[in-house]
Amino acid sequence: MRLETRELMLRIGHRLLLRDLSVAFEPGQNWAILGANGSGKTTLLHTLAGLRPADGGAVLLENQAIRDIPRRARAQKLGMLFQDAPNTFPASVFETVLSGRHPHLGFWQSESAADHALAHAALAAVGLADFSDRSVATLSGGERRRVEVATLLAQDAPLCLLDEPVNHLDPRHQIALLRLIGERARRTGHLNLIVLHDVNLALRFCSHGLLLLADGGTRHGRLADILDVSILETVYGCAMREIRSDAGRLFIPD
Amino acid sequence: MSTPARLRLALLGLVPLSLAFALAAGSVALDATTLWQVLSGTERGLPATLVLDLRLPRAVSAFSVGGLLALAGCLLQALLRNPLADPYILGISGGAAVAALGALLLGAGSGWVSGSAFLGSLVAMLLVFGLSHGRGTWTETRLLLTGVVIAAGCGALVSLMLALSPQASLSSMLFWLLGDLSQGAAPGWGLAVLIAGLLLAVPFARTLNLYARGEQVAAALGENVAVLRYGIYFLASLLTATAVTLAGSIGFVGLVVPHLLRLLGNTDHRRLLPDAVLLGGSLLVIADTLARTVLAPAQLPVGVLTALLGVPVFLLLLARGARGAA
Repeated sequence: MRLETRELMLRIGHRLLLRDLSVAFEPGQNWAILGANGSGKTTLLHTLAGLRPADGGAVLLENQAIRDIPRRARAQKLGMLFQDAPNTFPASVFETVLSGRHPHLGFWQSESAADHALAHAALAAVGLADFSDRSVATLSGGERRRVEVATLLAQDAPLCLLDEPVNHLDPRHQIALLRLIGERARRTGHLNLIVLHDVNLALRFCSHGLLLLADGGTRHGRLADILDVSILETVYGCAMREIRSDAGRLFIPD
Repeated sequence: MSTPARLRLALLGLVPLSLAFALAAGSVALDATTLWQVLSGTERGLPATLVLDLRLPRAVSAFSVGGLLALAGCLLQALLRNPLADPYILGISGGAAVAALGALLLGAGSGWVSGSAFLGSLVAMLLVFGLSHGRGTWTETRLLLTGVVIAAGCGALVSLMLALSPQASLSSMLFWLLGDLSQGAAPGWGLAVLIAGLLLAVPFARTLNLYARGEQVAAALGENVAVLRYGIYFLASLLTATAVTLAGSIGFVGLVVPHLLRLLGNTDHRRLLPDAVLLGGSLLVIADTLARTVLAPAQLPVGVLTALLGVPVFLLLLARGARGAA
């Protein structure tokens, strides 16, 4: 999958979030999207997923305008992890994960044994194999997050857009989850775009980065090349410090 | 056997039991043998008239109304993503009540009352739809608020009419408001709408599962949520309008039946929708039979009984569910 934006512009009301973004996301890459609160990361992700129209410019998936692709075909190619998913009504963990198979099923079809196997494998991959009969309502925030990731894995789309996937996760599961997602990009044609707040996690697991600045401008490229103290200070509006360690470069707020 | 399969089997057993109860109980109680003779056609006397001409149409209409309300309740709860949603929350029964009471006030016959109730509910449905649609944005909160406000407005008009109406027509008005199946007009229509509604909704049940998890989740998994939204809204509204036209506003069934089934572990709409029809239908058949027999010859408004029966059962299950989750 190759995702591309051409002179993309985003606004919310009269506020300009993003202008003139022309970037190509190539297969095999893991992209980190970094930006301050309210800088438009989620809006950008939703636009890239075709869930909202662009306010200018174009989003192309495999050279086709994203919103021209029939919805079901699009959902087979592109999966989305939302920042938070409401759960108003009770549902079992397995049922929830199985819903990721929805775009692969015809209107009159039900889930097959193969779909069940994929859902079980997805649950096992996030370490929740024993949870399938539990009600989602009884899970902790972190476990719920992993159920949502498992649902995305069951959807099995080559292009995944993830909005803060490590929300609510403890350090061990943050690492495990990003490793799991990151390694998927090594499969042929796979690509991940991940909204993150942790610069160091981004450096560790992502090859490329897209930084959203307050004035609607952007920086993008190989993450190791574009990250430095001064650009991070511009992005987050606070003093930052770089520490060189045997674990590589680390950035912390000063 | 899995829990949902056992539940379905129990419900399939409940339906004939509730119908048999409705056919046998009444001013002349019939035993099983007589009932069987009537149904098999060997008995043609007074019991046959009682069962086939009076009790059966009423039981069919009770089953249809119960099923319609439960189905509409499931759909609206998914649409509004609100567990408190019931078929009347968007003002459809309010519109029907204003029109029906208006007709009663003018001394119209029962046919006119039903006709104006249906018309009133359609007007309310279009009004809520038009007002909440606004300029393209259609959030469930906005729909919910518009519906609730229209319902409140209708409630005020209903109170006004009750206050102004002569003593003689008050009791028929109150009966209509509380829900009443004694008119029993055209039970076949209710059943036909119920079956058509279920057949329309069930193929979309898998999509409803997604929709209940959030509109964006459904959109990201390949559904056209805008079309779906209108579809659910109009289907649920028509089901409710039919139920209200047949029996006035019978409370509680549409709110509680979906939750009862969810508490019993039925969370997939592919099972929930048919099960809700079976449970809602049989519950209303039982409630209506009790309503006409408990204080016979006086008839109670069936809506009072559905609430009186439903509240303790629901609270019991809720308490059990809370313990189970802990």
